[in-house]
Amino acid sequence: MSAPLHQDSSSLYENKWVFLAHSIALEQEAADRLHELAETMEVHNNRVLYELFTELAAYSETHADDIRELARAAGRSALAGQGEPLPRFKAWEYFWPDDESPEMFHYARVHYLMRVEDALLTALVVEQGAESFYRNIAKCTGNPEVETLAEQFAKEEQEHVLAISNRLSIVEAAAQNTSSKALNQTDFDPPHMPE
Amino acid sequence: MMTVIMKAKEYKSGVKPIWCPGCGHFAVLNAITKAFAALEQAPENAVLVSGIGCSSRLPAYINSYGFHGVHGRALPVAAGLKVARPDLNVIAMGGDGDGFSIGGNHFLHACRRNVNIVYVVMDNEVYGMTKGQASPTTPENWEHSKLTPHGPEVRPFQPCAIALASGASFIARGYSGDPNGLARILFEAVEHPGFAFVHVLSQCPTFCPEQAQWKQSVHLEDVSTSDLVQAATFLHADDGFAKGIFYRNPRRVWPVEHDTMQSVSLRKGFEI
Repeated sequence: MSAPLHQDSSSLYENKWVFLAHSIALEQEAADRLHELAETMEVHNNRVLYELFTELAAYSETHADDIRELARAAGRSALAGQGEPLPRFKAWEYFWPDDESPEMFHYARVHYLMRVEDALLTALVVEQGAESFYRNIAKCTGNPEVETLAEQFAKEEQEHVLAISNRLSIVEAAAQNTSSKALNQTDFDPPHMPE
Repeated sequence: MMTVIMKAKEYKSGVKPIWCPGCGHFAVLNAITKAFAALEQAPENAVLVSGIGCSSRLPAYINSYGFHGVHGRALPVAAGLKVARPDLNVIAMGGDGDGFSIGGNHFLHACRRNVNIVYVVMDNEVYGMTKGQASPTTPENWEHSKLTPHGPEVRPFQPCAIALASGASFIARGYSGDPNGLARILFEAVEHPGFAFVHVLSQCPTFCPEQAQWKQSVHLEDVSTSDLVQAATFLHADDGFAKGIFYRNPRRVWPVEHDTMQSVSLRKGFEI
């Protein structure tokens, strides 16, 4: 008898349904984290970053929906009670290359003095991580279906990388032309209490 | 106990957290919801009990019963609730100041008593809510507070070693940079019959921005031994950045069920 899917990391490379389950989780978790960050920025009255994170979350959400639809068209549903399901994994059973999925905006990169440039730079890094994740699978798999899908997803991530990279260049150029960069990094009311 | 199939995010309440951007407590919140989803936890059968502090706001953000209690007193409230309602999953939580200073005495005796609850301490090594003073786990050379300009100059409290010495039957450490690993630990902690102590390195980006570098120091050490001496040896050498389940040794939980009837009538006992 073969090992359950969640115990065998090779299933990510060789099993189309496991690959699709991971792809949906990757995009959905990224969207959820970005929504959470947007909400945090809204609570802290940082409208600019609220809008940016909301926009980035929408891209990931759309991508997750697209993959769900692709899986459904191929015969497996990501939603409970709607046909034969995709494999289910507990949060810690996914085969990510690091502690979290590759497109996840790490908490350690977020700060109350964060600027649009910082957010875009991190968004760029995580999109590159997702692209690399898919490229690696496309390169290593022996399953032609998985290879085609992974190449397709890698290409989409590459488009995101390019779009964010262009936007970052524009924002950085604008910051260099004004004094906003220095101003944004200065906290005129630092959090430590002057005891 | 009744189970339900829910997505992790469906366990979140509609209340928006007011934690600072990048706060590690967000990761703990997400880890709890992921553990609940894996446990198929019915929200009405879970209770989160907290003390006071930034982390103690967490029960408000989860769609279950909650009790935001008194400073340092999450454990006695949680233990009392579990004794009265053993059918519920009771998770106590708070921060390092709440749990190891104001509530330090309760911590020792909760470990010793071994009531079947989970205790999650979100340790950011600082009193964040009162604007950044040194806490029991602050490194002795941390000089960022004007109250302790040379650092606390006191050896930090060792929560896991003290939990072991006090009799905790499940001891683990998670990291806010690894919400999935923490979810697994919480899943195991809830399943453990007895007092389960989960120490979480939860970064404070506002008062301790240097903690953003923790990821480089944290390492997995899933010892998960039931051998007290092996666990003590491991924790003696612990650098504070090991994550995983360190000790798991189920023993008799409190209260103990007795076959014999109570020898004194309760009614008579309360007569004046």
